[in-house]
Amino acid sequence: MIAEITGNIIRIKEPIVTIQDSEEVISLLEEAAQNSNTIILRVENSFSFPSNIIATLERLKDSGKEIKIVIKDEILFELFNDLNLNQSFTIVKE
Amino acid sequence: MKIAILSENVELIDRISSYLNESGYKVVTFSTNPSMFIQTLEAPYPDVVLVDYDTKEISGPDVVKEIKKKNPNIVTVLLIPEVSPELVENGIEAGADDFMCKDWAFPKFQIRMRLLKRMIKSNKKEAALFKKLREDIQYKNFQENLAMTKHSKIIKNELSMFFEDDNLIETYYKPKDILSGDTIFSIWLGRDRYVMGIIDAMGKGLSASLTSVNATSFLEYSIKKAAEYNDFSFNRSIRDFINYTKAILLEKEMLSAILIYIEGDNIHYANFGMPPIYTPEEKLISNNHPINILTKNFRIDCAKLPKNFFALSDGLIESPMKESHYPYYAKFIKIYKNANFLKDLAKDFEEYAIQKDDVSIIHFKKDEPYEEIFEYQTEIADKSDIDKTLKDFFMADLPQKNKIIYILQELLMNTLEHSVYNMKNKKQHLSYKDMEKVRDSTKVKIDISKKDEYIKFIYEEDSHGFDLNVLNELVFSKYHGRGLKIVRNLSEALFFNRKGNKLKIFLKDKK
Repeated sequence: MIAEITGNIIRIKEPIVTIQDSEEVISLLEEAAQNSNTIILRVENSFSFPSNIIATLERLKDSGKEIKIVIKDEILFELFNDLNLNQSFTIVKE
Repeated sequence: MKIAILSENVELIDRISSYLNESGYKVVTFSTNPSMFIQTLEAPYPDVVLVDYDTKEISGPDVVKEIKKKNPNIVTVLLIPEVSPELVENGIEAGADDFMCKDWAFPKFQIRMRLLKRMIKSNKKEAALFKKLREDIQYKNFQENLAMTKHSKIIKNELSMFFEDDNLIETYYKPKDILSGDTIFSIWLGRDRYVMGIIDAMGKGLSASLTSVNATSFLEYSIKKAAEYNDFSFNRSIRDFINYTKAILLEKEMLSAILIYIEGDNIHYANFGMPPIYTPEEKLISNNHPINILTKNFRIDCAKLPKNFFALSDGLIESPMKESHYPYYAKFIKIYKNANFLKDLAKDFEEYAIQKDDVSIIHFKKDEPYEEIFEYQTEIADKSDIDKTLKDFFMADLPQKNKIIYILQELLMNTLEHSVYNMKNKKQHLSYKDMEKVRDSTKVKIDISKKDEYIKFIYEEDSHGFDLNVLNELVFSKYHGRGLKIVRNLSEALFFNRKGNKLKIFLKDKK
């Protein structure tokens, strides 16, 4: 498991490398969405954040969920801002 | 003015209702059950809710909070037993707009209601103004985005991220306003034969934009038609362009343009009042005046194709520096010779200058040999093949491995979705088993090489590749092509071959 869920908080603890890793995160996001209207995603130890996860977050946002993403990596944080993802989600640098 | 009263005290409701009726106000609701009142509160909302501070089931300030959550525009007035700083502070914190003492006699109550009425009238006027402003801004944004999409549809910039053999071409286009006076175009005519240019209509706004887009559109169309009949002549294209432009220019209007034709090892150029072509060795200066309604003759010069050049509009070099307000030119002239890719220049400009005009840049560069450090070949038929490849890269000893893996994730998924399967629209959210498999597998070859502080990452697949026609539109699209935007953002430069099935990606090996 590269990620774990507690209520509406998902922690990504290891790098997302494979498609299987992405799908694991997507599945946890969908689980969190069933528990709460607010999802908090903590990207603690991954540089990459594939576009299929971003697409899932956008779908959840469109369905009325509030998404907060906490990012450790400086470059990933900049990338999120460059992609204008801060317009859709609350993005915080840790 | 529609008023609701909320209190568990029936006597208080009766007294205030009679005060209000006597003053000519209409009580639309009164309730002795705060929770029920909040639950059933819906449009059309009352203008004012008078809330008893001393409700038992849920406190008065909490009722105010809930009302404000449902509609912040409802004016809430707390009915307090006495004027005490503590009660008032609690109310303000909850969002109450005003206070009245429960034991106020009729005259005092009436005066306060008149003041409230005035406040509501003013609030409504302000709310209507904001609503109109919001609608106007939404409409303007919608139209501007539409205009930008249309602009990228009319003007084809085929070589915006292009490579052929060792020729690398990239362009940068950042309009100051959506109605831009700059247009940038580039056309592939044949192997080692490209026409490109920047057109800058003097002035700003709709008139300049119409001139620029119209003139470029004509030039682009006529060049393509000539090429189609194998009858392209740079000289004749420019003559036709001038004649066409003269016919659409206003009396005092002028148009600057830099038009470039690369043919093998030569560069032909006609520069009508634009900044020079900057090469590391020299500046190929403007050889014509800007085009106006009297322009008759023009000149084309030819030089040996430089290994590296920048052609640009004046918006880049004339914009002031953030700190000194001197033109960015002084900084540009120092750094452009060492700028390997457009991103170096664009980042510096965005960091140090205040953009005052449209900025367009064309960059041509001869690729150099790099030392190979990693080679990989695989065949992608399903997701497990992607995972195997990604794991192999994760285990390999590579510079900038994080970035390479992130880029690979996006490229391999693109190969699977658009080459092996036929996923036309990602919004379909289909699983692979529901999608049409158009081929059994796609072969992928990856080469990584290094030179000084740069890493060259070449990705090649044996299928149709990316649809290059949509590349420019993707840049302006909010939701589509995110994978490509990620790759572009992570890299220093990104180039596609003409077919779209081979990419050259340059990364910086930052320690």
